[in-house]
Amino acid sequence: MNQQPVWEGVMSHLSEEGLNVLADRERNRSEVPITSWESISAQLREEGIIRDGVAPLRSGNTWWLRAAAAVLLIAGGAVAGRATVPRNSQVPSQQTAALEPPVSADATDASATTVAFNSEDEAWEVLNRAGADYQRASAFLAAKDQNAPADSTSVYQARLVALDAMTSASRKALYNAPHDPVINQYYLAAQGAREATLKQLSTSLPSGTKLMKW
Amino acid sequence: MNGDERALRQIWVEHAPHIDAVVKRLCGGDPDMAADIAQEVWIQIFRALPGYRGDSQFGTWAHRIAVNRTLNALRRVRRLAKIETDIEEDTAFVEMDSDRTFLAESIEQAMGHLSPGARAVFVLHDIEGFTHEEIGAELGITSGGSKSQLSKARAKLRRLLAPLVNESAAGMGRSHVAPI
Repeated sequence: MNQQPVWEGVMSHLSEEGLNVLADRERNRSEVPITSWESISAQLREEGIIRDGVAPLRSGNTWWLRAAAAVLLIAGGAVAGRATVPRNSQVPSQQTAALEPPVSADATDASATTVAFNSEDEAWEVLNRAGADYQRASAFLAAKDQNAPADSTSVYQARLVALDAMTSASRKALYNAPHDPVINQYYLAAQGAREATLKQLSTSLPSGTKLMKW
Repeated sequence: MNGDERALRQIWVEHAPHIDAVVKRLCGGDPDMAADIAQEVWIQIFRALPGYRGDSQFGTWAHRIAVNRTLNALRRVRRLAKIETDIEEDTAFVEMDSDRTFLAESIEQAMGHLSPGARAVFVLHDIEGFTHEEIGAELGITSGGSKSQLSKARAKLRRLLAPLVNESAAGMGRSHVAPI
């Protein structure tokens, strides 16, 4: 009815700090996307970016490839994880524990016998979660690695060379199986480990020096 | 990943909440335009994907594309066409009568009442973390112009968000307030 009293009643302003808080909250706010995959995929299909001829792999005809890739993922994870720890350093016990396979009775049973899945989706969900857990654990261990030896720079450089080789190999594998989610995960895991190692390398350099390019 | 819908969809699922939010913020209160531009942004991201070298986090890379593409789209519809003139002439902050009495209940609503240029500067600096130099390069203005625009945008937002004053004192526990 009469807006003026309202206006006069709120002549105060939100504080600068209050606005900063709101801006921070806005930055971290996550909401439902305003795009739809159906609409995007239709256009990508028109442009040939999504190729309908590229059907998802069926488990029947290439099970060996998927199994091999999964083994590679796990074995590669173990090797990469161990490579994170400097060879001539004392490793804290909790880090050692994090790197070792679980030894509980349940875990032993699970690895020794068949793990039952009710569906392919369930199995893929477990595999995807394992991949994500691996990436987080690698990043955590890399960040916590406070016991780097004096020559840690060379350790990180060596690891980067190895990760570049892994990236190159997985990229070549993607040419043969571009739609295989396991190989895609392997590629992305190598990329993630590469970024984490680059950060470690940049912090291990002597003061006054800066990593310009790798 | 090339051509595999499942892998591309996974990227969209993971990053759409953030990328779409950036577009929406820059577009202000025009949901239809924001949706159209966000669609363009995602097509551009997937077109550019083969060129992604892993030099930065994927999210950061995609975020840059989202900002550039959105600003270009806004220029195309002339919403940012006269930003520099607006800043020099200070016309961006001439308020309509309805604006003087409007009070926002959320920062999103308040940002919708900024001019397109002021909103772009505020979003890019205070929310997306761009420097004034970067904003100047993106918008074709000087870094001084960006600073000036930000200062005025913040002043207007603080007034529009005056209903949140009491909440501010209470620790900003909620983003919306009860009616006065």
